Parts: sequence; C-alpha cells; structure tokens
Amino acid sequence: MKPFLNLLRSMRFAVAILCVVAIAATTGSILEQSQPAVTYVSRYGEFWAAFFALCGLTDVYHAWWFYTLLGFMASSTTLCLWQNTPSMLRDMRSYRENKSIASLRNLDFHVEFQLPEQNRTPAGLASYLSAQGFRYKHTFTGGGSLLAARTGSARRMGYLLVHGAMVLICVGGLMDGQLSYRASVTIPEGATRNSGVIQDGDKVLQQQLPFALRLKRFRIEHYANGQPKDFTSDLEIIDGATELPVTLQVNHPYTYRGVTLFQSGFADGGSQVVLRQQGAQPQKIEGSIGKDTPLLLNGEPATLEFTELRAINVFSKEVQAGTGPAWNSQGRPGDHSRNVGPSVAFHLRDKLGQADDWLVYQNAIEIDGLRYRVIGHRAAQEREIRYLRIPLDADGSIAAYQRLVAALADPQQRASAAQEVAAHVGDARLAATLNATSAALLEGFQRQGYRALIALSAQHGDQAEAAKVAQLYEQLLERSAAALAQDLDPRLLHEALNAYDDALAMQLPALFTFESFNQVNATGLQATHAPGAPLVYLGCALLALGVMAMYFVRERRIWLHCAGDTLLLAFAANRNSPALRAEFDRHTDAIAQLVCTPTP
Amino acid sequence: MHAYFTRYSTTRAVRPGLLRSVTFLALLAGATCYTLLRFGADMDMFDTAILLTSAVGLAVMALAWHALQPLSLGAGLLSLAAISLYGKQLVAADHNFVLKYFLSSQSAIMWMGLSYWASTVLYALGWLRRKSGWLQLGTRAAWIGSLFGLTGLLVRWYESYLLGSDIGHIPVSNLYEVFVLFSFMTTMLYLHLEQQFGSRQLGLFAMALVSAAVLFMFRYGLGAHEIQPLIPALKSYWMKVHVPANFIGYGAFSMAAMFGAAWLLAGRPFFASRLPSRAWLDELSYKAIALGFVFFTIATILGALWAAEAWGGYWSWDPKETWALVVWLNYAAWLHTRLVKNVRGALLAWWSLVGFAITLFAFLGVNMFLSGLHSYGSL
Repeated sequence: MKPFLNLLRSMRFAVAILCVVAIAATTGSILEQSQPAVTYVSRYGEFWAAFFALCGLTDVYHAWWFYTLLGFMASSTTLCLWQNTPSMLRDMRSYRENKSIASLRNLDFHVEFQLPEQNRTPAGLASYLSAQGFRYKHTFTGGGSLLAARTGSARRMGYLLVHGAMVLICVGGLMDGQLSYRASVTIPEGATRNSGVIQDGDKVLQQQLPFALRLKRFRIEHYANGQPKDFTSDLEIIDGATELPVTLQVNHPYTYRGVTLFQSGFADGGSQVVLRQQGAQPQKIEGSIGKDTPLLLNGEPATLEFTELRAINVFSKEVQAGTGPAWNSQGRPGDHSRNVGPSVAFHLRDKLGQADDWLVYQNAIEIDGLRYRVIGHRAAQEREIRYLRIPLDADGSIAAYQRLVAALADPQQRASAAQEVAAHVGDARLAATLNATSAALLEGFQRQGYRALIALSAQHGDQAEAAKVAQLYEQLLERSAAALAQDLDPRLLHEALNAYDDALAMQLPALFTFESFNQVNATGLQATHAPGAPLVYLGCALLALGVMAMYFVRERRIWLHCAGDTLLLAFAANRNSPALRAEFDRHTDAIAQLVCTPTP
Repeated sequence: MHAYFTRYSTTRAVRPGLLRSVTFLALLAGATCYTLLRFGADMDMFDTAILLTSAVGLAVMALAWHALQPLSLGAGLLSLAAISLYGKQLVAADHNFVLKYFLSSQSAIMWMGLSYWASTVLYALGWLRRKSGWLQLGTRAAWIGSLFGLTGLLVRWYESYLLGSDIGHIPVSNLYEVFVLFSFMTTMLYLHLEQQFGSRQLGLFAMALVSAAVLFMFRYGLGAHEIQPLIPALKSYWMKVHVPANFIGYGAFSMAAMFGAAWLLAGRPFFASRLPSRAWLDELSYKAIALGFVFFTIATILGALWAAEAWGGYWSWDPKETWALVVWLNYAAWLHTRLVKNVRGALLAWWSLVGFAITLFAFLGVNMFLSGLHSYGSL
C-alpha cells in the first residue's frame, strides 16, 4: 500500500496521469461518439465495431475506464494536497527566522556589507522592507539581530486553491457523469409535456420531468437576411396546483426544482397546409407537416408526405451560381435580397415506393419584372433540385399558361394556328411550306420541347447552317404559339414556352400549387439536471483565483543579519529565474544606500 | 559568492511619464463617463460591467506598460475618425479616400498584415547582421501593425452596427476576425516581453509566427471577411470575454513554442551568437506558458459557464471543448514536469513545440476536421 501511495502522489505520476487523460480524451473526439451501432459496423466493419463497443470507445466519456482515469487524477491531486497542505500553511506563516547564518551564506543570492563605525545598528532596514511590501519578524540569533522578511505568501494559497479546485471539479464531474441527464423536449403550441427523450446511440430513453410544461406561444425573430435571430418560448410550468409562467430565450435558461430548461431550437408542431393539384379537374389537397396524405395521381394511388413548412424564405443577392437555388434552367433569382414568402416541402411517393422531392412556393415571385409561380422538383434519381417558373398573368393566376398548354395539346387548335401563321403569306407554295413547318414545330414542341426544334433544324446541312435554321424555327414557333394563345403578350408567351419546356425536361407527374397554411410551431427545449454543477462552479471560481495567484504573486524572502560590523543580506525566491539577479541587485543597491559602504 | 560592484545610483527626478499617465487616465475616465452618459440607456447591466472592467483593466495595464497609452489613444482616435467619416453610411467606404484605403476595417487589417510582414523582415535583417538599428525599426513596424490591427477591429465592430442595429457584434465571431485577434494578441504579448526583457533578439521568431498567421488569414480567411449576423447561441455577453481570453492563451502558447525552438537552435554557434542565453530562453518559455495557462484556464471556465447558459450543460464533450481540455492538460503536465528533478531543457523545449501543434489543432484543426457545436468558425 505504501509504495502505491508514494507512486500516486509523486510528481511523475501527476505528469503521467495528465498526459494519459489528455490522450484518452482525444480518442472521443476522433471517433464519433454515441452513434447507433450500425454506423460503426458500416464504417469500420464488424470486427472493429465489436472492438470499439468492448472498449467503450463509442462512448468514451461515460466509459468505466475513463472514470477510473479521472478518479486517479482526483486521488493523486488529493494525496498531494493532503501531503503538502500542512507544510504549506506552516510555510506561509513562517518567516524562516531559524535559518542558520551559515545556511544563509550558502544561498545563491547573498552579500555582506561592512558597516561603518558610526552606524553599527542601521535604522532604516525594517522600514525599507515594509516599503517593499515585505512583512518581517525581528529576532536575535547567531550573535546579532536578524530581520527575517517575506512577501507573496498568497502564491502558496494559489497552489492550494488550484489543486483543491481540481478535486472539486473532478468530484462534481464524476457525480454528473452518473446522475445528470439532458433530455430534449419538443412541445407544439398549446400542448403539454411532462417528459423528454434522451438519445443514446440506438436507444431512445424517456426521461420523466418532475413537473409538466405547457407551451403557450413560440416566436422566432429573424434578421433582415432571413437568418433566425432569436427563439422565444412562452411556457407555463405546471407543478401540482401551481402554474408558473416562464419565458425562455436562447442564452436565457430557467431553473426550477433542480431542472434547468434551455431554449435550444424549434420544430414544426404539425402545421396544416392546403395544396391544389392543377389539371383538368383541379383538386384541393389538405395535409399537415409530418403526416401523409393519400391521393390519386393519374388514376394511381400515391402519397404526399409533408416534411417542412417555411414561413419565410429570404435570398440574398450574392447567391453564387451553383451554391444557391437556381430558379430555372436559365436564370438566377432576382437582384435583391428579399423575402419570397412561404414554401412547403414534401415527398410524392408513388405506389412502387419511389419518392421525389417537391418544394413549392406560395406567393408569386417577381424576377426581372415578371411574376412567376416557382416550383422546385427533384426526381428520385437526380441529385439537384430544379426549379420550374411559370409566368403569371395580370390577375396572378397560371390560367394563361394552362390555356397555352391545353391549346398545344389540342391538334385542331395547333392546325388552325399553323394556318393563321401562313394566312398572311401571298405566295401559295410558301404558305403551304410555312403551314406545314409551323404545324410540325408545334407538334414537336408539344412532345419534346426545344429539343424537337434542334432535331428538326439538324436536318439542314452543317452546324452553322443548322444554328441559323434553329433560330428561324424558334421565331416561327413563337409566332405560331402567339396564334395559339392570342391573349398573351410576347414576353409572357416566351416565358410560358420556356416553362413548358422546363416542365417537360423535369418530367413533372403533376402540378401542385401551394394555397394556404396554418403554422403550428413547436419549441425545442432541453431539460437538464446536473447535481454536481454547484461543486464544479465552486471549483471553477477557486481555480481561476488560484491560477491568478500563482502567476501574479511572486514569493520572495529577505534576511538581514547584523552582527558586529557586518550586515549579511540574503535573498531567495520560490523559483530560480535569471530575472532574480536584477531584483537582488536592486535590493543590494538600496540597502547599500542605507548602510553606506559595502565590503569590497 | 556574488561580487558586489559599487554603483552610482541615480537620484530620482520626477518621472516624465507621470504627466502623460495622468493625462491618459483622465482621457480614459472621460471617455468612459461619456459613453455611460451618452449610451447608458442602451446598455444592459452586463454591457456596463464589461465597459467598466475593460476601462479599469486598460488603466492598470497602461500604467504598468506605458507604451499602451499611445497605442490605445491612437487606435481610439483613428476609430473615431473612421466613425465620423462613415457618417452612418456603410457605402462611404467605397468613395471616401481615407476610408477606402486606410481606415475601413478591411484596409486597416490589410495594413496591419503588411506592417507585421515588414516588421518580420526588419527583425530578420537586424538579427542576421546583428544591427540594433534594424531591430528597432522592426519593433516600430510591429507597433504600427498593432495600431492598425486594433483600429481595424474597433472599426469593424462599428461597421457591424451599420449593417443593422441587431446585427452588430464584437468582431470575434468568425475565422477572419479571430485571426486578426490572434495576430494582434501575439504581437502585443511579444512586444511586452521585449520591453520587459530588453532585447530584440527574439523578434524574428515571434513575428515570423505572426506573419504566418497573417498569411493564413489573407489566404483562407478573406472568404469570411463579410460581417454576418450571429446565430442565436452566440448572442451573448460571454463572447466578449471568452474569446479574447482564449486568444491571449493561444498567443502565449504559440510564443512559448517559438522560444522553445530558439532554445533548441541555441545549441549551434551561429544561433547562439544571435540569441539570449539558454537560461533566459527557458525562462521566457516558462513565462509565456504560465501566462497562457492562466488565461486559457479562465477562458475555458468562461466557456463552460457560457455553455451552461446556451447549450444546457457546462461540459458536453464537444470536440472544441475536448481539445481545449487536451491543451489544458498538456500544459498542466508541462508545468508539472518542470518541477520534476533531472528534466533537461531540451525535453521541455520539444514539448513546447508539441504543445503548439496541439494548440493549433484545438484552434484550427477542430474546425477543419471535426464537427461540433463550435462549427461556425469553419473554413
């Protein structure tokens, strides 16, 4: 036992345990902690996953061996304190006036002065020491009088504080390692909860709270750029008969009956949304976030899974191509940072279980002077979301676009439009060609979009020739389309054709617009209980005081021994440093001034 | 036996610095009072406490180290000049000559970097040729760099409020800003040491490190130069004390490593003739680590208190926290090792270099390679 204790309190052991704890702590930051077991298996293979689990490496900071290491660190510190405190306290109070004259002469810093005849008992010494911040004691020893002085005893106090604080922090931390919990509590507006959940790897544990919480209101404040600024929850703590109103904010927690509540985030509490499925017979679809809504899609059963409702969407003008939302296959969002209004995201899952992602904006969005309805879509096998922007007519509806689409799909209307294009041409042969080309273009565009124009123009000679023809075809298509939908102004028509082309390229199975919503927020709270925290905080306070005392307070001792015609000045510090020489010289100078000539 | 040589002690005249110090204190007190009277209504209890503590802290430091007086006065005046030139319009920086090229935070920080580089070159010249004139110029350049750095930070603070009164915050919230802080803090620590120690032989070592930080800042940090609003968890008065304290720690540890390197090099005659004695290098290294340890301890404690308020627990084993603990334990071990008998200086010098690597990882590596709650400082 004795050798073990000796080892435990040795400085070498202290250094070793500090290093070992440091290394142990790093492992936890390198290997991801508290993940579900499958994560480790898939990433490192079965052998290593089992090995990690066996060694507690998947949750280092709660592993028995980590606690053991911390325990060793605490006990080593405690032993050092136990051993050193009495002597340190003694030393702090002592002036070391019993040091022999010979041992004073052995100190690195000492000097002897020859006292002149008339000044055998120099008077100013004691007051010099006081002026320098020393406290002293006067004794008679070694055949003369001795002034033993010290300053900076607080340094030793610093040592005691620092090491005592470490013990407190370790004990508090170990306590919390066993007894503390941190549970997430999600409460929708108007709902009441009396428990939270703790996610621990694969397991989800339920943590009962000693009271219930009711969320009255949840607010999110935003910066002008749409970033969230603050979350605020107006809560009611219901504890038996008492109902206590509490407002929580980020960085402003509230503690009740040993449980501290923190605002940490937010979630959707089941907001209701209304979509409209556009088409021949528009259909209203109601649903709520987090829930599935069945619907019939082209005669087949499908499911809408609503995932996210955003009340505001702000885009800054500095959206780089590729990083931000590219609204369309051609073009970028508008020039100004602005709020484009609410959006809803959902998956559309077909009967085979394949799902594509949708992001539908509620409001008309103005881009370069025209207003659009924007719909984002990502098919299951695609990587990036693509945006369809449908130009709106004056009353803000997509009716004009839908009329164009319907007209394109109708062979009779296409034929009459082609005829109308050719009608103004006098030359009969030319008119017939124009009529045929126009009809072919409309028909091709209806099936394939602009790709059809390219395919048709590619039949005309080399590349340069084909490009020219393609341009002509595009103009002709727009003229034909104008004949098809005569109420559209040219720009709107152009955008509508683009939108139709995009819709074809994106292979949209249906067209949804976002009609209305009723947002229900849920607050994300954390409830923690840490009985060791007061110990840790006390330890922290002592630690801060202690390190400051150890750094800023310097311990110094001076002995002045007068015997006969010599005055011995000895000087010592707690730590050897090259700077001590200068300090000693300063004292020597000053005392030489007081007592005149020193011995050569 | 210490041989004593008679010295002629000089009679003490009234210190010429006394008048200057009194003037400085009066100005500082005046500025503090003005701020309290003019803006007191907009400040909460913590703002007031932080203002008063900083004023007292600056007063104490500036009395102990007189060179801080012209620095803080200069930076204050330049910042006030910048504020009046801005005239509450951020766009002024685009067409006002002085703002555009000198005083807007971006330009001032650029000048800081250039001055620090110049200082490194000057120190290097003086160090190689053993010419004190060059070394002196090196010190000057470092001071000018610090003046610009401090001004840049202060002006940036103001600029953040011009973006929107709810966006304004102390400029220590992203990588670019903390690199400025790191360069400034490390240079100031070195200059203080230089003044105390009375030799400029280590200027090259300290400023080479700062130059590397500036290079890194210009190379990687400029992407983050735009002022961004804070995420809710960062909106706290704790940030004003936690981050600067941390960077005093980082700066001091880095400098200790440079002194450790100097200690190792001092074994060769070429270096030995250009460096302080090994005893001194050892002492300086110790001083730097002890100082860094004090501030790092306090910063970590402040961080824990903040975490308790923002994240719901004083310690969550977030990677940044874990690595802060690793840094702390490492230097605690270093300090204890000095007390073990028979440990030679070489081990400690190498260890201080290893410590620097660990510190660097805690400062940058965690943000680059690991994820966690401190992820806002990512590259």
